[in-house]
Amino acid sequence: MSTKTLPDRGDTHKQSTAGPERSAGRRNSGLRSPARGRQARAAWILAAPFLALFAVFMLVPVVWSLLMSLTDTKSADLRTPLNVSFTGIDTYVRLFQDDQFFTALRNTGVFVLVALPLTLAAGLAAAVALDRGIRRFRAVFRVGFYLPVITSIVAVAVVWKTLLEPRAGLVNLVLGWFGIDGPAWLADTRFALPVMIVMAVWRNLGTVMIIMLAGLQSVPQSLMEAAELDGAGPWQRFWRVTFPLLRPALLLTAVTTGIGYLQFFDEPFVMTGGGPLDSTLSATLYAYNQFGNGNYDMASAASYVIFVLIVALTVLQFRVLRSVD
Amino acid sequence: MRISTRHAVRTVQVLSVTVTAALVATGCGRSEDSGPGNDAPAKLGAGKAKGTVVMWSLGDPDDNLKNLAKKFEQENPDATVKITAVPWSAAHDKLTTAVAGGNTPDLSMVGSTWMPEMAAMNAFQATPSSIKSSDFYPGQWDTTKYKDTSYGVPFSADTTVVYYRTDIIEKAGIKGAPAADREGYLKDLKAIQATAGKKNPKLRHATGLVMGFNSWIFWLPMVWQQGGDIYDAKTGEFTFETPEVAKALEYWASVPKQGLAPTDRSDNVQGFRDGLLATYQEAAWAGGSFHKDAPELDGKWKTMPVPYTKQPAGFAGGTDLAVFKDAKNPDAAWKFAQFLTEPANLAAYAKVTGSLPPAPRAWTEGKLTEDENMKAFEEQLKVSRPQPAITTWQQIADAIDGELEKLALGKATVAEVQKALQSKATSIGTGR
Repeated sequence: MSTKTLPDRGDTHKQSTAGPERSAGRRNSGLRSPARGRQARAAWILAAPFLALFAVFMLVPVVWSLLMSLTDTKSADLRTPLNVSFTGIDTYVRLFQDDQFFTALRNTGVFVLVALPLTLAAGLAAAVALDRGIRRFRAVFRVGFYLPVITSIVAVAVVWKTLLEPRAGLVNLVLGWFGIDGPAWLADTRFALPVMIVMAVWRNLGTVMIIMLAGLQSVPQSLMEAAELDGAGPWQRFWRVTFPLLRPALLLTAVTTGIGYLQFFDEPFVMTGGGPLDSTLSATLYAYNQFGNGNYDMASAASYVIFVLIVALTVLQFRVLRSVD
Repeated sequence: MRISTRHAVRTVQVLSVTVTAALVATGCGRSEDSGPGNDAPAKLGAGKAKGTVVMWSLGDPDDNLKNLAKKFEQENPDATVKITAVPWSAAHDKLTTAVAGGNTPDLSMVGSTWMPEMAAMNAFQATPSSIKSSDFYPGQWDTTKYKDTSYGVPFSADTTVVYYRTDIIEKAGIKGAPAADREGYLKDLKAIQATAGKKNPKLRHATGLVMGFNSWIFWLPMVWQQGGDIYDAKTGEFTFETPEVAKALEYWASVPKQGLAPTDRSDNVQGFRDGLLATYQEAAWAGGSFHKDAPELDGKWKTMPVPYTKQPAGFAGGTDLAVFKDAKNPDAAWKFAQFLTEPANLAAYAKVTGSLPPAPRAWTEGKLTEDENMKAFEEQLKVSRPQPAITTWQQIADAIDGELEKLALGKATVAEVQKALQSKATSIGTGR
């Protein structure tokens, strides 16, 4: 019953990333002592409340949802489950025949592909600027950039919606001073999704910034001095020394932000309801609507497609950001 | 590693047991010959109500309902009523979850468009025969029906009329109200639009449309006004490709195409208050809110029934009272529902909440038409009817909303919209 704890290749020959997972690994491998059984039991008891809640509120629904996606369950069947029949992948076939689902996938894809790199770049830029330039007001800026992250997304969406209101909103009012007749931002198929991308970048760059800032501050001064002695300029120092050391932080933020973006939901739900003309309909909003309409089969199938996409994106990010060692 | 595998196996075992148990628990105990659309009317015992009645009310917690409950408790000393307010935004999910889990209150207010869907879930008892359909407006009574069986009692009615700004339309030379027929109304709108600028500096559009979500509520009656419909209950087929639907779509499209209404989703209520819009269609609550939030407008707005072509028609919405099959105290629940829908109580409830009573006698007894602006609503209630009683209605409605938006924005022609709606609706179907 040996537990495999050998760190994989990526971790072994790096000195600067003695992260929490490695030390945990080491402690694990030392568990062959006689106290192990008792410790394990204590661990299970301590974890039991979480595991119970996890099973009831996560595992059961997740498995149930998978089962439902392979049947033709509608809301009317909830009290007469014997009417439900197993239909295999039929629901998935119907899902992929639905143009609206493709629209939703496309919107989500555009959102992730545009907003994710922008968020990472903006967050990194903000972190570097805070680390280098504006040392004196760092605390103020840190709070300023981070505040949107901790504000409720619904509150943010409502405020933006007010700002963007076509007739009375502040944005069009300001544009009006310069003689520009602002569009009905959220009711215009050309602007609704871009507006949400801008909003997401503004809202999420704080997370990236705060983690990058921590990474930047842990770069050993001696390395920088060594690079400087070797004649590296500021750009070279950044790209050759700082950036590689930031890669774990970048991976973390890219994965978490990417997963969050694939689940893009609150903004269109609050601001446009997916309109105009489905231009802001996201994959999760599609699944939500199907669920609300009582099509539990379609909602489950759509959720599983999103799940597969999230796994795919995460794997891809690990590949891209890790392989360059 | 092996530990977790064994645990995974055990978890799956536990899960399958749970699932089976749940299936058995929810599936058993129902006889074959009763079911959605097939139920016999609930039977009520003689005498007064006894025991505790648990009711869910939709919307804000309102004292008026509690006062009525107190009155009921006085008349039935052995009965207690407990009322829980459920916000509208959460109500649909909460009701379906409660039904699915067999964990319902005794009775609840139910949004009228949800009735067929939830009746099909086998959620409600059929209305007892002591409650007479003839006491209610036919359209409101029809909201309780699924497969020709009634599953509730109308409690509050919701229909829309045209609100118009007298101060604005006067300047367009319109005496009294705008025309009551569609052609004349359109002409009046054009005349109003022409006054934007010099005569009416604030005015942007002659009227406001609802774009996107729930625009079907305003469009569907236009089909009925042509004498047509979108669904034939006898054959179970959708009829989007009929000339009547084409006419209704043409009319809908013509309003924004001629610049008479904005196509963005700006707020009609605010626009009307600010004088940016001269007319728009809205429910009864708006009158109360103008009076409360914009008293300076008092006397500057009036209501009129919705203009029509061949025959008047409107949409019947609102809430019904339904008693659940899983009710613990169904007898007292029906007695409370019956009590609440007595004309005097309906009138009292409507007066305070700003909703409309669904029964003609409540209008007379409550003297509701003493307010001039309520007359249009009464007239509209007489000709209102609900959406087709099919369980997939919300999806059909979403499809209509989407296509109407395309039409208004000029992204599709009437013929394309008809074809798209027919094929979408047919593939969505009418449920089991």
